[in-house]
Amino acid sequence: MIWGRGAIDDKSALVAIMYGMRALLDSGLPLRNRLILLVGSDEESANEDITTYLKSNAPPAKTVVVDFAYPVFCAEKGWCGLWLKTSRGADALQTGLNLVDLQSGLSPSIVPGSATATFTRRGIRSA
Amino acid sequence: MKIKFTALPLLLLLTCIQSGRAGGAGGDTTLTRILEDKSSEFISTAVVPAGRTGPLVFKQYAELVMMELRRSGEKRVADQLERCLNGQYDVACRNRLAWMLHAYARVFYRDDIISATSRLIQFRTFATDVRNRLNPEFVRQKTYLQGLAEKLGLGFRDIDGFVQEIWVGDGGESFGLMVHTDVRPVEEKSWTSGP
Repeated sequence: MIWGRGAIDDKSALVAIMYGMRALLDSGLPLRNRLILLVGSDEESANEDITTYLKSNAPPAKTVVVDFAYPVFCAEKGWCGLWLKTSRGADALQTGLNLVDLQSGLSPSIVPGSATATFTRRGIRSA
Repeated sequence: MKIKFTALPLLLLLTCIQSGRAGGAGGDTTLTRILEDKSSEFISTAVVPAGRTGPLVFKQYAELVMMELRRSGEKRVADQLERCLNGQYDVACRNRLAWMLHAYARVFYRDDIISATSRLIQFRTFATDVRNRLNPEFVRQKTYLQGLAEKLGLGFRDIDGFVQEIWVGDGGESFGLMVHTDVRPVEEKSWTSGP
């Protein structure tokens, strides 16, 4: 078992495909066409990689995206974002609690290991 | 979708790797049994010295699989595999061939796959203020990939750090697979050890 960033998404797929290609070479089977792996560098942020690539390179006849949950990526389960807006210290729900701090990870697309909300009530600070 | 070229065995291989299953009945069951991890490992350690790979090893391995099939009364499947290995593809044998390639890669490259994956994870390739393609971690990772591709006898071309192409075969038509090497950032304090 390998733990770490990219162990699933998406470095293991890259390595598996490279060794799969090597196995194909070892098999000595005649390769009449080309099997090409496109290794992107910017999937998680701006997607600048493949868009730039396609400006000067023709895409393969067919491409399978092998992203997350190797081997073949079909679709994401989908996700739903819920944004709550409140001004710091406000008590919109009339709970008597004032939210003063919220630590819940780095990004909406990263499940946090833990999340902490800090409230005040009648001037007493409690977590 | 019509796929007529030899990328198909690998594509099927991809769909099989890690799933640990093979469909079908009859001869496929025997083939699956033979290709299951345990018997594959038995085959590899019984006949092929550890750490050896390459065309000769694959040939030995394929012959052992076919021998085992014939011994189990599955001459038809063994013959199909043999035909396929000689370049006479047909739909029935492709899937079986893909399975054998899959088992071969798993058995003979297992340790290499684990160590290369672990190595890749050590590169901290999350977005920073510097563009990914110019980020030293990405550049180092790219250099490592190039070395690995060359070691494995695969084609490699870097497109300004945006994308790297890694390929086998030089034919006219391409079948593509796409992956990415960047990861999301983490809260360092949540991890008890670094990559």
